[in-house]
Amino acid sequence: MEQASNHKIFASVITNPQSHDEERARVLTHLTMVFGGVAGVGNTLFIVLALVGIMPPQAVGAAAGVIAMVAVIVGGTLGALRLSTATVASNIFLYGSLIYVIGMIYLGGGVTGPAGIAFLFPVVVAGLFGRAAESPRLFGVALLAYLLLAVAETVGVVQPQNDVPGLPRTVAFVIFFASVGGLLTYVASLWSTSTTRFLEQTRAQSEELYETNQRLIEKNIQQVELGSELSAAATELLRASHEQASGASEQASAVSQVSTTIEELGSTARQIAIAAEQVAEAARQTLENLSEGQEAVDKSIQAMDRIRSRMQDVSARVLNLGERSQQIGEIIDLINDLSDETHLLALNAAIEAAGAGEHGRRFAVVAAEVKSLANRALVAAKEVKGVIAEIQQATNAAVLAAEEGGKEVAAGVELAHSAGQVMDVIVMAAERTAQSSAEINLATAQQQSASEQVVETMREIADVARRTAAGARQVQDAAQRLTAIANRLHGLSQDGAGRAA
Amino acid sequence: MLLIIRTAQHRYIVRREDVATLRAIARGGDNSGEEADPPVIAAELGPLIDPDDVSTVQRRHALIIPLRRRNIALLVDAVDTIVEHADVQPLPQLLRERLHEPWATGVLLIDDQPVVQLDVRAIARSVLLQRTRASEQK
Repeated sequence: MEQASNHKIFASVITNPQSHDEERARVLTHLTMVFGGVAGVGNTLFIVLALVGIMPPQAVGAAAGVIAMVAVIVGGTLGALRLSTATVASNIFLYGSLIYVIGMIYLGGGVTGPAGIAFLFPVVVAGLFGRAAESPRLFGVALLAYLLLAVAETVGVVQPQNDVPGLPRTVAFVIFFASVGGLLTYVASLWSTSTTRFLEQTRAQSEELYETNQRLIEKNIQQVELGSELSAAATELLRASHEQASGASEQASAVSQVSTTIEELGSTARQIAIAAEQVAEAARQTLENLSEGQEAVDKSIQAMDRIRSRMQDVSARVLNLGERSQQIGEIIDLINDLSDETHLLALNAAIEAAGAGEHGRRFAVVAAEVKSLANRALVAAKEVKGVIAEIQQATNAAVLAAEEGGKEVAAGVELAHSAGQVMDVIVMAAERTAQSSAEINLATAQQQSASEQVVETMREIADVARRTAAGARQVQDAAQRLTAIANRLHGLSQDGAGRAA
Repeated sequence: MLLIIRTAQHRYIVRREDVATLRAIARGGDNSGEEADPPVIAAELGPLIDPDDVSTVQRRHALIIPLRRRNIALLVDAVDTIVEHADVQPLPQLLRERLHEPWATGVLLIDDQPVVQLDVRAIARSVLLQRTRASEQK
């Protein structure tokens, strides 16, 4: 299970160049552990064989040294993996294993010994790790080290250890072959498994990619349909935003007209309030004037009453005067009668005197005088009677005039009373007018306040309408952009669907 | 000597000798009845001569003409003046013969106006005769 997991991780490391360092570290850790185990087992086998006498005794020290070297490489690699990056650790492992191989060649009988094939291990591992430049570089370094070691052995600078012909050599060769072969087999197994895994993953990814592509095609088709619907919706939205903008503009215009009308109404209400105030002022002045007029009417009624009383007095006096004139007339008639009698007596006396002849002449003179006096008295009586008649006529006229004046005065009194009643009615009307003016003033004030509130509200509505219009324009712009996006999406979807098909 | 009398519409003159006395009589007064002594028979002078000459004056002047046991009072509006030495012209014979009653005896110019002179005694006799006939007819 763990190997399968390692193979999976290794395959992931191999197939995915962008694999995480942690996964590389895990693979490198396992590889280092396998390397340490194989090296440790091989060198321990060397020590055991040396102790049993199959291998020369000096092989014990060399194997121990190699084990120590392996321990250093494994420890350095694991420490680098813990303390540093996977790249540094892999370099330590690769170049450390290269140094290990050089040491194995030196301890395993030199360049002509069986350890030479161990150079292939780091080179192959470097190649399998996917580092294309690392493998040739390692191979170059290994080749260079092999040549230098060969030259050194040739000139005698270095003497290969444990180069014992016969069985030791063969055993060492077998151990080296088994160790290197086991490591390479392990790496090859990893590679094979990883390759199979890679192919399976590739196939799975291809299938997944195919399914994804199919889903993408379906989504593209859906996007095409959605793009069409989106385009239709965007067109509808554009038309609605047009209508909304137009409606908002009309609403703003209507609100503006209503605001103007309401302002005119408020102005009219103010004018009405001013007119009502003027009417109230006029009503107050009318009330004041009416109160003065009422006092004047009362005074005129009183004056009329006095005039009527005086007229009645005058009429009574004139009637009295007429009666007295009548009495004077009667007296004058009496005087007239007396004068007439006297006149007749004088005539009779004259007649008698004429009958007496010469003796009656003086008496005739006296009679003539008496007759003359009587005639004068008659004339005077006639004149007085004429005057009395004029007086009586004037008196009658005065009486009639007094009666007419009395009637006129009575009519005037009646008219004054009627005027007073009319004044009362006018006062009541003026009071009602003043009260109505006050009510009109209050109503117009309330109307004015309401108009101002309505105007303020209409301004707010107009502001909202303007904002709505602006929003509608923004929606219109957004709808146009949405239409463009839908068209682009429609084109892209068709292209994608065509390519996918 | 002549008296000038005035009715409602005319003026006349009469001889003073024909009139016994003058009186003032109210229309419908007590002194114009038959109970006076001697009895007085009153008659309006104006309508006797001119039926249209009707007076309305209340106070009347009576010309008292004595005829045997009765006095005839001819009522006029006024008796004014005594004219002395007047030149009364007698009516012409032709005109006098054609009068219905022989009551006018002459004409006098007063203020250039002709004024007829009446024979009041003849008038009084006519009045008395008419009253007597009237009472006899009753």
